[in-house]
Amino acid sequence: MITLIKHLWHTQRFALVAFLLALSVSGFFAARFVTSSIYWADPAHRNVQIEGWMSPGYVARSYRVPLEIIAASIGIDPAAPPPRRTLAAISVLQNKSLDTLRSDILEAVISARTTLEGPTR
Amino acid sequence: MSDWLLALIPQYGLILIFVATLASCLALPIPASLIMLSAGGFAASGEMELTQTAFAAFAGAIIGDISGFAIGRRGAKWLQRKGGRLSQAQELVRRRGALGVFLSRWLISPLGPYVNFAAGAAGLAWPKFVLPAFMGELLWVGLYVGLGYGFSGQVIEIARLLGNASGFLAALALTIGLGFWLRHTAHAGARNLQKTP
Repeated sequence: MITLIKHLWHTQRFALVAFLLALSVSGFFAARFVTSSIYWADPAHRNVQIEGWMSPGYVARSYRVPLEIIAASIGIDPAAPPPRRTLAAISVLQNKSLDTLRSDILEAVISARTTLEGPTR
Repeated sequence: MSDWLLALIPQYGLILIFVATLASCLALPIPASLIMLSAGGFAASGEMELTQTAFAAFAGAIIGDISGFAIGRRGAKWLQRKGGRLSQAQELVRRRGALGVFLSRWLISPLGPYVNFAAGAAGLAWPKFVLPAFMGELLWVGLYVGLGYGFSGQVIEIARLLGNASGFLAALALTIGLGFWLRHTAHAGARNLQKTP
């Protein structure tokens, strides 16, 4: 084995280094894949953080509540929510911080879930 | 994170998706997978049209592939003038290239752009490139836009999972390929040693 590695080191140095590098990168991604799937398997980690790039419709899908509830919580006409507008754009438009929008939405989501599903234990 | 990029999706929609998949097929560092997943998510929330989204992504990908392949062909002429030794690799690509092209579209997609250049440089025939590229991109776009649609609202998490999975598979494919190469040269070396006592 050692003779083989020595032989390859002399004749195929580049390929040998590339092989070892590819092997360690495989290990790295395998480990990351396992940790991220373990993390995601926990239902507590599935509620995503509301970010500026999300649209009200996206947040509604993410939190599994009707779009009208999200729209109403941030003062948008629930009947005709503006299409293709992100929360960041809405926060600028309404002169509110993203954090304010975030907490307004979360509050509405929590109250909607209690009325939709009844109190959870 | 590339939040600002994601914020552009509902706004610039189809153009952005088209440009992203095109650029990613030319090895430009644009997170096309994440963009397709998010676009699928936005399609699910009714802010984009699903078939248009998928078509834009597919058109960008196939044009990007063909461009990369054409660049590889031009590059090969330049390399040959410089006296590069391509013959062995060329032989392998001509025999097994189509499968490599197909798999590097979707399963080991991080290798996709380099396979485009390499396949072009090794002189793979046009039909042997275009057909598997077409099928593979169909799968890639369908998979990512579809997963974004199905798991809308969780695209960042899905993107992380898929990114690690495809990174692992691509690195593994490289490891196996280089392993075979090393084994092959080790055997060849041993044969040579036997011949010359």
